Amino acid sequence: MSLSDVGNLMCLPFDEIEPGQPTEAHEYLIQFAASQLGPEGRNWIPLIVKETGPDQYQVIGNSFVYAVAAEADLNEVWCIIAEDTPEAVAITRALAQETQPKTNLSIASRDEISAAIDYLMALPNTALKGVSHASLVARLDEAPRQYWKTLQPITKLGCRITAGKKLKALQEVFYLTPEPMPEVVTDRALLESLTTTQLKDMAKKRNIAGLSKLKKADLVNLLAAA
Amino acid sequence: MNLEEVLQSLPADASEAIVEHNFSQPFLKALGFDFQEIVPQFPVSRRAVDHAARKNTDEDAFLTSHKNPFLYMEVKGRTENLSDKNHPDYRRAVLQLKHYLMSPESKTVRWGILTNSHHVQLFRKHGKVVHPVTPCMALSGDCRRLIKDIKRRIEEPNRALIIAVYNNKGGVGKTTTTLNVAATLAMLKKRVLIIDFDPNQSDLGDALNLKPLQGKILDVLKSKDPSIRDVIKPYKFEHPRLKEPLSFDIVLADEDLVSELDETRLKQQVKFHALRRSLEAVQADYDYILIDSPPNWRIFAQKALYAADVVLVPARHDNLHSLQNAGTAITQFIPEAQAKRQEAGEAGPIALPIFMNNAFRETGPQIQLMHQAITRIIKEARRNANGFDLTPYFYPKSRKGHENRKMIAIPYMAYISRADFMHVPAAFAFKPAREQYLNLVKEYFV
Repeated sequence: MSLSDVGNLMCLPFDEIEPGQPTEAHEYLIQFAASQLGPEGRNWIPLIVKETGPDQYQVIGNSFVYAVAAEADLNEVWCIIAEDTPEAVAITRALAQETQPKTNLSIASRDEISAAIDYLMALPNTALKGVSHASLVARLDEAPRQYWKTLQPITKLGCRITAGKKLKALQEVFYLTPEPMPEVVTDRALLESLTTTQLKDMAKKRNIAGLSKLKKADLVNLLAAA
Repeated sequence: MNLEEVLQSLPADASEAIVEHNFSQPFLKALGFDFQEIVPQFPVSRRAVDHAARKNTDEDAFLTSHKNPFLYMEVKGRTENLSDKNHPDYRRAVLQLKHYLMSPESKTVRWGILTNSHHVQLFRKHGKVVHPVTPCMALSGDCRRLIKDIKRRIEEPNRALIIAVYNNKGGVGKTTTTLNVAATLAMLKKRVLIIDFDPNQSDLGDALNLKPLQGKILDVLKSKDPSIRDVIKPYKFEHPRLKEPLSFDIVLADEDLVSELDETRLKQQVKFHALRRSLEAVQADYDYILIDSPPNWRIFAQKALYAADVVLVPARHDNLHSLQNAGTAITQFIPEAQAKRQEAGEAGPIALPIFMNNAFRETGPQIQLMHQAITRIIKEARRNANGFDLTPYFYPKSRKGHENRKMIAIPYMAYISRADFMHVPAAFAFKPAREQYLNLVKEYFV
């Protein structure tokens, strides 16, 4: 028998539980669930809590249940005690769908990118109106995104993503863990995604002289050939 | 003990563990894999496939390195029914094997074997497609021929996947699909051959501005020793900004197949397996062979389906008949072709999930209507075609406990029809079209 309560289903007094991240569910849903539950009912879907001190708990998942219990004036709530670790909190929040999923665009596979963009486009009032799913996925998949430090280069892919609300929408699901750019780059697509200043710095590092008058296209040619 | 003795000594109700322990090693040995070349309980994405095997090379022993597996074998107990395709045991086992084969760690795996020591079935993995190569074969009596057959197949070099593009309904975009899928695969540096097997229309050649042949295909189909190489024509797409031209090969339609002969005469002169046999001669030269088949279920379509490994079925969301006909093709015609191929000891074609051609971008009442129609078709198939479940063919992304009605689709695009007027594949001419077909190809094949 373990002495810890972790993993147990327990009936805890409602006063001992602190709310965590509040739910954003509509009032109507909460009222309906509360009327089903009544003041004497039992919440068959438990709250997920962590222990923060003696007789002190905090909600980490199913905060909808907390809101309903408050609405129904329950004195006792059934809870599962979860571990107090960041991993347990993250898993609970993901399973309870209470967190915004995020994809690492630096290393994501084509399928992951496709699913993330499909999710964004299926949202009601999506910001990605008029964007072609297939084009965006194909161009993101081929882009040198492992070196991107921000999502700004997406606006240069030519698939109707501009630096306003569309890019912001993408920022909701994508994050980056960029690799450092290699010293010598000869990949044309990657060179073209850089600015002229960056290209000139790169050329200077490689001791190429006579750069001041060159245009971006010339610089790309020079560096790709070297 | 050799394989026959093992088979005789195994009890009739041997459990999975017993079959695995006694039967697997001698069986894989008979297929030419040494003790050093077999790894039992090979880990694949948190689970383990019963056996993985690969021939050793000079510098690398599979038993020690565990790298680049070539073949997976999944063993079941003798009590599990693997001979009946509709039995839940069989379905579960096939799904399990497919799951192993499709895992990211299994990139180098090309073959999968499913067996319970009574029956054996061989599956091939080609890119993203897993398809059965042999029917479920009984391991009774003299099993040497069966072993020899499997051994011959797995030792062959990589051969092309033969894809028939078919829907019983016309006007769903079979020719456009064939052409653009071929063009997209060619852009991914695959060797592709397309066959215009619709002599009534010969649209495929026309879409590339090529004239149909006269009488040559008929000769190839009639001859016993087919030399389809003589009628293969290369198609090249050149553009000043392309370093090297994009190309694929094409066999054009034969006018004489419709003008000279009527269908009964044709049936008398050309055997059922003629197309399959002539394609097998060039199968090692390509990665993909696509057959553009005519609508209806008559001689040309039958031959095309008979020749194929997999069938790609386009349909249109706004056309009820194209959806119904897609269902009929999967529940009736493809099994017919399978039955015919099984007479020759091969598994025959399987259907890939249906894809929606010319689909709408916006959701709306029309999409609702389509889903209602599909639900009805699925229900009817379950009632009429001995419990055939069409759901994975319409909704390939649906899983247990997760109803996902996402379908594979190519949206309506003016580019695609415009390219037809220009006599070039849309995937070569227009980037947005190319990206749509790239999506399709990645979804199904690569």
